[in-house]
Order: sequence, then C-alpha cells, then structure tokens
Amino acid sequence: MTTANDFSKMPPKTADLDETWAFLNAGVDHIMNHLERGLAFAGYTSLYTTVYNYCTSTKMHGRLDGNRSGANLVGSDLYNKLSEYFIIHFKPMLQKAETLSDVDLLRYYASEWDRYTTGANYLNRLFTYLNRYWVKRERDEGKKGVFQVYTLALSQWKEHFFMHIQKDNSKLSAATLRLITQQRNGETIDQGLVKKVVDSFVSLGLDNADPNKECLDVYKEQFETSFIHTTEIYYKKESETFLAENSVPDYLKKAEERLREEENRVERYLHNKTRKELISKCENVLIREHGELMWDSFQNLLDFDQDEDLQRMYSLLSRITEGLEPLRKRFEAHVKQAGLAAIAKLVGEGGANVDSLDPKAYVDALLEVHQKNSEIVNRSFRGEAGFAASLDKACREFVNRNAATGSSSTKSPELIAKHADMLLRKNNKMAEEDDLEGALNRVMILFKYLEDKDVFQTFYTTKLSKRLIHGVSASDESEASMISKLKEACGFEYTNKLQRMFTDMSLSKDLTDSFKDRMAQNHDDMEITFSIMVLGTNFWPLNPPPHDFVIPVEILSTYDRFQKYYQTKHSGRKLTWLWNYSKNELRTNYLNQKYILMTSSYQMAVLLQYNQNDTMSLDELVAATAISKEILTQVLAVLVKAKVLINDETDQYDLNPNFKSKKIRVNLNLPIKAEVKAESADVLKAVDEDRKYVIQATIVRIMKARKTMKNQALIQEVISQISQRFAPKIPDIKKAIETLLEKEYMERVDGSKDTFAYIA
Amino acid sequence: MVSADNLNLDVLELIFCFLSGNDLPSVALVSRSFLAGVIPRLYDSISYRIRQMKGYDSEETKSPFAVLIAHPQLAVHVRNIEIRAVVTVMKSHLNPNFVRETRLALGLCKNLRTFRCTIPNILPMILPSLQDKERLENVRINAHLTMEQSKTLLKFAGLKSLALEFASWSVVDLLPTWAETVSSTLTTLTLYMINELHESIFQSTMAHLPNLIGLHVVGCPKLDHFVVLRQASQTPLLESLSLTISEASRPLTTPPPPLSHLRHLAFDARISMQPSPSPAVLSTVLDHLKLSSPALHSFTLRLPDRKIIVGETFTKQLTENYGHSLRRVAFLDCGVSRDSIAEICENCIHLEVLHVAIPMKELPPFTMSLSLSKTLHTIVDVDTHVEHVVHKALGPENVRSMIAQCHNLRKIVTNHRIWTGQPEEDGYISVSLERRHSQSFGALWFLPRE
Amino acid sequence: MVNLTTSDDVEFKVDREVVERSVLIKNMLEDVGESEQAIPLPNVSSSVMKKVLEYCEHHRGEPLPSADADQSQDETRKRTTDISEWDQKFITVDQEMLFEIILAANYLDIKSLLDVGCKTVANMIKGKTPEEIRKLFNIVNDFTPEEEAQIKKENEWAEDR
Repeated sequence: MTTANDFSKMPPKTADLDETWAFLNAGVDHIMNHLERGLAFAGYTSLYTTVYNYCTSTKMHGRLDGNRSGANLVGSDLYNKLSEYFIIHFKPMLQKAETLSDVDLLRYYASEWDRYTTGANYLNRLFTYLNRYWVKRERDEGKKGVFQVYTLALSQWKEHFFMHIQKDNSKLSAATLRLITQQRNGETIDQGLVKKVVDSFVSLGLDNADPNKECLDVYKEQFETSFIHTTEIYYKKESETFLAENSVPDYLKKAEERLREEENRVERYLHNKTRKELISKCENVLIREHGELMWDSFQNLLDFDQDEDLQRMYSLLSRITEGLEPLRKRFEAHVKQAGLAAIAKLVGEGGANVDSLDPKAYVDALLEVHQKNSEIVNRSFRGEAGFAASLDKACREFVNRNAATGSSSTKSPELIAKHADMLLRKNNKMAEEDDLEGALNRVMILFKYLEDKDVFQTFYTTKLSKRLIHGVSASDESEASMISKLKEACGFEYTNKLQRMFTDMSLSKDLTDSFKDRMAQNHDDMEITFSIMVLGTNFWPLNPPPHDFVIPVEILSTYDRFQKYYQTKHSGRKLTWLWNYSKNELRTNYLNQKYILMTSSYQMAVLLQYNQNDTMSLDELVAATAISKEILTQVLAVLVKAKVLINDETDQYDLNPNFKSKKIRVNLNLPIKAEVKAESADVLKAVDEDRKYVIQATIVRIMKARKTMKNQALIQEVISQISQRFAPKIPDIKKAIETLLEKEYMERVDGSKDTFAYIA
Repeated sequence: MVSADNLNLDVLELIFCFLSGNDLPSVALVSRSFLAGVIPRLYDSISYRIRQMKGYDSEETKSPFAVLIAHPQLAVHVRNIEIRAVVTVMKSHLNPNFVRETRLALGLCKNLRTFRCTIPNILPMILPSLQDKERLENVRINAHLTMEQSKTLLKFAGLKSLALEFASWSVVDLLPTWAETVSSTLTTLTLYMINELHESIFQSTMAHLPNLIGLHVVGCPKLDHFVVLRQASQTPLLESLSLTISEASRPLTTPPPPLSHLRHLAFDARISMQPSPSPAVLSTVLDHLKLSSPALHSFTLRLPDRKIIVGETFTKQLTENYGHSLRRVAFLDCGVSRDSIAEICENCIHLEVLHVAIPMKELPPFTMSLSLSKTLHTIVDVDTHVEHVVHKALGPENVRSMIAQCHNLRKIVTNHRIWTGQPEEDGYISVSLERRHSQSFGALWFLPRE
Repeated sequence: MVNLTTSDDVEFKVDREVVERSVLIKNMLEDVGESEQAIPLPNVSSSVMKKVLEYCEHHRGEPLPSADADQSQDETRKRTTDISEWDQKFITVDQEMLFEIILAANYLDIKSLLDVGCKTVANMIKGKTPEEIRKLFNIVNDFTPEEEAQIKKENEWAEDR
C-alpha cells in the first residue's frame, strides 16, 4: 500500500466475493476510520466500480421455477459483509466506551457519531449501485429488514453500539440527564454536546415501512421518558423547598423563570415534539401542585394592590385548566365586599344616614369601587373575559343590594336617577361642560348594573318633566346626550316617552307664540303675559289637581280665549289644566315699593282675593278658590312665613300692608311637604302599574308568536324578555296570565292544565 | 463484446419494463437470462378473462394461479390481479379446482396492490385470502356478499381507491364504518349499480371522506343527481365526478357544491321516456355545476338509447361553458348530429380526444366536421354493439384520408383495432394497425382516462 | 472543468454542469471536491464516453430527476415508449454501441439516458416472436425443448391482454 487512500488497484471484474470484499473492506475501513487522510477520485471510483462490477458480475440464468437467486445472492453477499463490518468496527469503540462515563463518555460518543455518520454518508454513495437495484428490489418484494446503506449503518449503530452502552444502566442517557440537571443547578454545560447526543437519538429511530419518515421511537424510549420523569422529580423537590423558605410572590417569579428556561431548553437541544409534554408536566409540578397556596394568597395580593404579582399569578394559573376559576370566584367576592363596605361606611353605623343619603356621595362611592377593580381586571388580568364577568356580577350585586337599599329594590335606581337629575340641572357645580359628559357616562356604568331599569326610567321621567316645565335643565344638548345613551342601552321603547316630552316642549313654544300673535291682532286689552305648555297625557308623569279650582276672574278671559283658540286649532282634543303645576308672577300695587311675587297658581288664587278684601277667613278662602282645606292651609303657611299675609288669629288671614323684602322679585313658589312625600310614592305606584302592563303585553306578544305554550316555558320566556328592564316576580306573571285568561286573550288547551293557546 | 444476452439482470429488467402484452411471454421464451429479466414484469399483472379459460378443462393450459402455486417464488412480483371470468362446471357451478387454485395463489401474493373481481360468485370464496395484504390500495369488486362475508372487507384498511358494484345490502350497511377506517387514505370512491344504497347511508359514508378526489355514483336508483350533488358539497377537492341523472323534477340544492377542482364530469342519463333531443334536465345540471367548476378537461355523456340525439342546444351550452378547457369529449350510446360534432370540434379549442360513433356511411361529411379542430389527436369509435348488420370496418384508405384532412389527427381506435398514422415528409401518410384492446378495455365507462 | 479518463486512457475535459448529469460524478465531486486530478472511469471506453457526453451536452441545464423520484412516477414512465426526436436520432447506432451506451448510463447513473436506451431496445423487441428476438440479438436458445414447452404453457395466460 503506497498511500493510505490508494484504492486504485481494484480486483478484476471476475473477482469472487473474498477477493472483492478484501479490497472493499480496506476501502470501507479507510472511510470509516481515516477519512481525514483524504480520498482521491481514483480511490472513489475503484470502490464504486468494484461494487458495480460485483453486483453485475453474475450472468443470470432464469430458472423455470422462477427462482432468480443468482441476482439476489451477489447483492446480499455485499450487504451482509457490510453489516458484519460495522459490528467489527464497533468492537474497539465499545471497549473504550466502557472505560468512560459522564461528560467524557458523551464527548467520545458524540465525536464517534460525527465520524461514523460522515463515513456512512460516503459509503451510501459508494454503494449506490447496491441501493439502486438490490436494496430497492428487496424492499419492493416486501423484505423489511433490508435498508439503504446509510440506514443500515444507523440501524447497526443503534443495535450494536448504542444499545450496548445503554444496557449498562442507560449509561448514555443518564449522563445526558445529569448534564441537564447540572445546568438546572446553574452550572455552565456544553449545550452543543447535549444537542449532538440528543440529535443522534432522533436519527436512530427507524420506521420500518418508510425509512425516510422521522421516527422518534429511540428518542422517546431511551431518552424522553426518563427526561420528563427526572424533570418532574427535580421541580417537585425544588418548588417544595423553595416555598418552605420563601413567600408566594417570590415563588411566582421563580416558577415563571423556570418555565421560560424549559421552553428555551427545548429550543436549544431537544426535539420539538417534547415541548408539549415537558411544559405540561412542568406546569403540573410548578403550578397545579401549588394551586391552593396561590389561590389562598390571592386575597392578600388584592388587598395590598400587588399589581405585578397579580399579573404573574394570573399568567401562571392561566396555563393550567381550571386554574383561574378559583381566582375569579375570589375576585368576585372581593369586589362585592368592597362595594358593600363603601356604602356601609357612607350610611354610617346602624343606618344613621339612610334617609339623608346624598345621591352624589352614593354614586361616587359605587363608582370608585367599580373603577378601581375594573382597572385591576384590565391591568393584572389582561381584561380576560372571565374576570370581567366576575366584576360585573359583583357590581350588579352591590349596586342593587347594599346598606343603603335595605330590602328595597327601588332605592338604588331612585338615588342614581336623582343624581342624574342633579347633574342635568342648571347651576350644577359639577356641570363644567366636558365633565358633565363624563359624569353622565359614569352614571351609565351604574345604570348597566341596575336590575329595575324601569324604576330608574320612571324616576328619570318625573325628574325630567320637572326640569322641563320649570325650565331648569342645564342644556338641551346634555339632555339629548343622556337620552341617546339610555336608548343605546335599552332601546327605542325605553326612551320614547322622554323624547316625546322634548317634542311637546318645542311645540308648546310655537303654540304660545302663535297664540300671542293672534291675540295681538284681535284684542288690545291683553294685560296679562301668558305662556302655555300643552303636554301629552300619556307621556308626562303629571296628574291634574284632585280638587276643583275656581279660576280667578283676573285670568278668566285669557283662559277662555286660549281654550277657544286651541279648540279651533285642534278640535276634539281635551285640555286638562294642571293648576298644581302652573306658576304666576304678580305685581304689587298696594305697597310703596313695587314687588314682583313669583307664585304658584294656588298662591295666586289666594292673593288675588286680597284685591277685594284686606282680611279673609280660611273658610272664605276655601269657598273662593275651591282648594281643599288641607292644601290651602299649607299654601297659606308659605305666604304667612314670607310675611305677605299675617295670621294673628286662628283661621284669619290679613294682608300685610308693611311687607318688605330685600329683593324686588320674591319667590314664594316653594314645594310643600305633602307634595314631596307623595311624589316618591306616586312614582312607585306608577312603576307597579307599568310593570303589570309590560308583563301582560309581553305575554300576549309571546303567545301570538308561539300560538300554544306550556306554563313553565311561558314564564321562562317572559322573564328572559323582560329582565333587561326589571326582574319580574313570578307571582306577578301568574297574575297577568290569569288576567289575560279572564279577558280571553288566551285559553287553556282542552284536557291540559298547564298549556295555553292564543286566541286571535 | 456486449450483446443483449449478457446485459446484466438490472438492465434487462429495465428494458422489459417498457414491454407489455404478448411481448412478455415471447421474451420469456428467448433465453434463460431473458426469462429471468422478464419475470417481474410478466407477473406484475394477472388478468383472468374468458380467453384465459380456453383449454382449462382439457388441461391444455394452466391458469396463472396454478403457475403461482407451482412456483411460489413468483408471487412476490404480483401487484395487480383482475378476475373477469371463472371456470365453471355445467355452465353454472364454479369449478372447485379453479377456485382452490385462485384462493391459494391469492394468499401467496403478499405484495398485491390492485385487486379487481367483477364477477359475482367467486368473491366470497377467495375473499379470506385477501386479508392482511399490507399494500392493497385499489379494489374493485362485485360485492354480492352476506353479512358474515362482508366483515372481511373491513380489513382492507389502507385503500386509496374503491369501486363497489352490485353490492348487497350487508355490504351497503357496512359502508360508513368501512369509510371511517379508510378515511385517511381513500381518494376515489365508485358505487355502481347498487339498488340498496340510499341517501342516509351515503351521507354518513361521505362524512368520513372529505378528501375524495374522485366520486362516481352511477346506476344506484336511490342516489340520483340531486342526492349526489348535495353530498358533493362535503368533498371540495373533487377532481372527477360521475352521476346518474333522473327525470324527477326536484329543484337542485343551492348553492351548488363548491367544486373548483373538478376536471372530469360524466353524466349517465336514465330517462324512461325517450324524448329526442335529450331532455332539458341535462342542461339544468350542467348549468348548476358551471357556477362552481370552471375548467372541465373531460366530459362524458351516456344516454339510454342510441336513438336519442344529443340536442344541439346542449352541445352549444357545453362548448360555451367549457370550450376553453375541454380536452376529451365522449358521447356514448347516443346519436350526435354532424352539426353538434362540428360545434365541438370548432369551439373546444384544446380538444384532443373524441369518443363518438363513427358513421361508416357518412364518413366524408363526418371527417369534414372533425377537420374543424386543429388539435384533435385521437378518435375513439364507441359503436361497439353491432348486432345483425354486417359492420363495414374502417380500412387503411379511410384512415389515411381522415388523417390527411384533419390537422393533428394521428390515432383512430375502433373495436380491437388501433390505427396510427404518421404523415411523412413527402406528404404520404404511413398507417399502422395494432390489433389489441385499447388500454381502458374493461374499465367502467364513466371513469376518467388519462 | 472536470477531467475524465476513460478505460483506454483518453482524457476528456468537460464542464462540470454537463458531466454532472451523471449522478456518480456529481456525488463524487461533492464528496471528494473538485481538483485537477482526473477522474478515472475504468468501465467506460472513449468511444462510448464521446456519445455519452454528446447526450449530456445536448441536455445541459435540464432538471435532474430528484433522488427519490417516487414510485408513481416510475409507473407512468413504464407505459410510454415514446422517445423525443433528438434522442431518437442520437440513439440510432449499431447494436453494440446501443448496449454499451445502456451499460455506461447505468454505471454512470444517468437515468434519462438509461431510459432512452432501454426504450429503444424494447421497441426493437415489440411484436416479435421469440425466434425473431433471438435472431435480432444473436442469442442462442439455451432451453431444452421440454423446458421451452413448459415455459410456453405456463405463460400462455399472459398472451393477448
């Protein structure tokens, strides 16, 4: 042998197996052991050609029995020799490997693996001819143990080298795992080495049916299973030790970091398929196993506003199924508690301030709790829908039921509606333009949580009507904005009345103007400045006075003229005069100083009596005005208090000739107590009536669509359709059904007790 | 010196791969080395037809199955087996010896890839031998089986294509389960002449087969075009579709199935009353499909009777919808007017192959119509059922004149004869005749041919 | 440029792109690296090499069949024995040269050329009787009459398909 890589002296074409293999063996050995010394073209072609020559050497003699073993023999000759070669090749390697352990073993294994696979790639090409025909034929004919030369090399490595080392207590994979543990302990390791070894496990998997397909058998059996197992044990121990000595927030940081590390580990030197199981096992030992502890410390984090820790806990627990549910429950309870506490504080010990509760303070207290927790949801829980739902649930609870409401379901809607009223009134201090819009939006946040939206609606309507007829609304724009918000939340029907009220207001303005024009044309004796609001009965929550009223002669002609004017304009419409809501301005002539008295119509009726008499008895006044005694005494009380009248003797009222006031315009038109109290009660009565009607209408609508329906289903459907406005009570629904049965809107289906049919 | 005789086996095998038919047994007789080289190719496909039965009883010939039993080493080479005839005793009973041979031989062929058996009575007896064929991909069977026998079918798990003909109810019943086991591999499903198959079973079968590329449902009375088109919406990858069109005038389900990959379409019109030209329902279905399948490459139409003429409105509609994409058009068992042929030849701008009855009596005008196509390459005569009339066969002069007149025409296929013509440089057309079945002989008429 | 030496010691200088149609040479250049050294091809004579290189030159730049050209491709390849016009002319050589080209293509691993050669031989065989085939290729019948009869009988089923 002149040089190590001179294989140009190839055997003759007729060479037998021994001679052929002797030559090939030297070449194969050179490639497997001394490739670094090089391989020239000459050597390459001689080896290739020798394989070719041997494979094509046998002249084929077809036998009648179809046995063509000649061809199969030459191929299998070479194939078997090659298989055997590999086994011999491993002998010294195995001896060496036996003396090594841990990193040394891994280094040796990895470097041998490199050399071996490089050589096997060369062999695969030098034995191409064998691959192309004999191997292909064998595989086509269904032989399963026959592979392309490269695959053969891998399969031999696995069986006769790799498995031999592994047999000794999984020496190889155990060494790899120890290295990984060292890295987990914070030591620096040769990651490239681990990657190389692990990659070899992947390469050694062999799918018999299709050797080109990736197969993870070896990787899984020899490495992954124990890797996962080791990991579990490692983190179980670590997390327990750590938690024994450290706080939960510190542990959260630790767990987060460990999970990130393991993700990176997969990236750096493991097979991607390991990711799922590894991470889920880590999540199990690092998170689920300590779930209780985390849940329990959640309250603490909430109480002390530990934002970052909350975030961390959220993101860790969100990785395991059902991990967040206990948090959501706790969060809900926490928010509810905060809401209740805030109102309790406001109401004071034993409900001290319940009756004098300031609507603004009430609303602000509710909003503060909502806002704070809403921020927590967005910041710490990434606005996750489950937490948002918990927040809503808790808010709904404490907005509707708290220390201020007691057992009344109407208190909260009332207070919130009152707050809205205050916002929308003229001379409201908060009502700086931009801020008003914001304040209204905040009202809407609470409105969303109200269960009895119809109660709110009724209070709101009443308050709005007052604002309108007394002209104390801050701005039409803000009113419109609020109405559109309500419309957006509850639909057209909900705000229909409110909008009609605005329409009436503007129509009335036109009406007043055109009436004035007409009067100016026909009469020149109009001493009285007159303006009128004509309000649709169905849209305004206003009731006519419960008693008669004698229209003072001073305004009678104006009254008649308008009555006539209106009848000609809208014949058939009935005007009901709401004296109890009207107001007047009277000029004094009987004093040195001229004053303008701003009065209600009742006060006006009383005062006009003094145009004729300076003194009058209560009975005389009752007779002259037809106002009930009960109300009249209150009307008189205001006038007496303002010192317009003097009440020195019982039931005797004299005009005060010495009346004095600092202001020229004197406002006498103050609400009387009976009215205030009656108001809330009236509103609630109206709500009850309204509910009855809504329930009935809903039932009819449902029955019309469904034709027949069972009792239970009908009730369910009614509840689901109405609950947006208020929470209907089941007895009320049953009562409505009875009413409708009586009125024959529907009937019981023959032979069944609980099925109804619609009657068209 | 190198000669054919001492070429190595590898090369001989390669050469013989390019041979087929009678050449293979001839090569086997040349010499020992040729015999060795031709064996894999020779035994690759075994087809047992009426011709192979000749001399069986007198032991003058051996069945290929008997040969396989005698030389079991040959069985590894067998990939395709087709049984289209069986040896009988007294005309009606199966010859037990033949059945035994067949069963044993099938058991030996472990590399079997394709199995076809289009005759009914032998299948139950050989079915057990077909179990555990790991490589079995294509099956076409006349599946008249009992419930017990049908269960064996479930063991055919890796099928890529499956054709069932005349299946009994027990096989039909099994279809959904079977479809589930082959759902990851099956790409072509053919159901032919199955009386028992109704929509609900068909639907649950199709539910497992969203990846079908070919679907052919022909002659199943309960599955007409309404049903098939409705179910085809589950198989958006479909490239070929055959269906039976019935007269019933139910409205088609809209929208039409999304078949943007559809390339091959075959209509089997089963119409009891016989209006001529062909009824409007064909146009309706064609229109329905146009919306979703823009580029048909082949279209096949079969009418119940040759007396029915394909309407010219229909051919016009065909060329208007698909003239830019059609490469192959076939009219089976129906009359086609000369104007219709001219329409198709002129307006199908890529037309390569036309299957149509060649009218021997009107050859010159027929040729005129054909000459309107610049691309037409092959004419296939579908007039194969000549009964009493002595058929005037196409002669070399006819062929020469047809090829001379038609720009690109090179091949004319009639029953058992394949004519090929090649214009020489001097304008003379050399014509050669090969007497053999065309490749598609025995295949179902509606399946796409490449 | 790549240097090739044939069995009769003739040197060819060829573009790498051309000669890489041979998978053997392509692999070798990849494994060993390009060098001034000549690649010895002990199984190919210069006259055959000339023809082979003519073929490779003509088909320069065409895509090589991928290493794992799958089975289905193989199947369709079998059906057609059509040969392109240039290849047809190229392969019109005497029988010995034809076989030499086939062997060289097989040795050098040039799949498309191997196919052209094999198709040509197959076309020569088509439609001939055994005796005609023997005569065509000058083959001696090495069967005994009994053997011949047996083969005939056992393969008769394969006729007329």
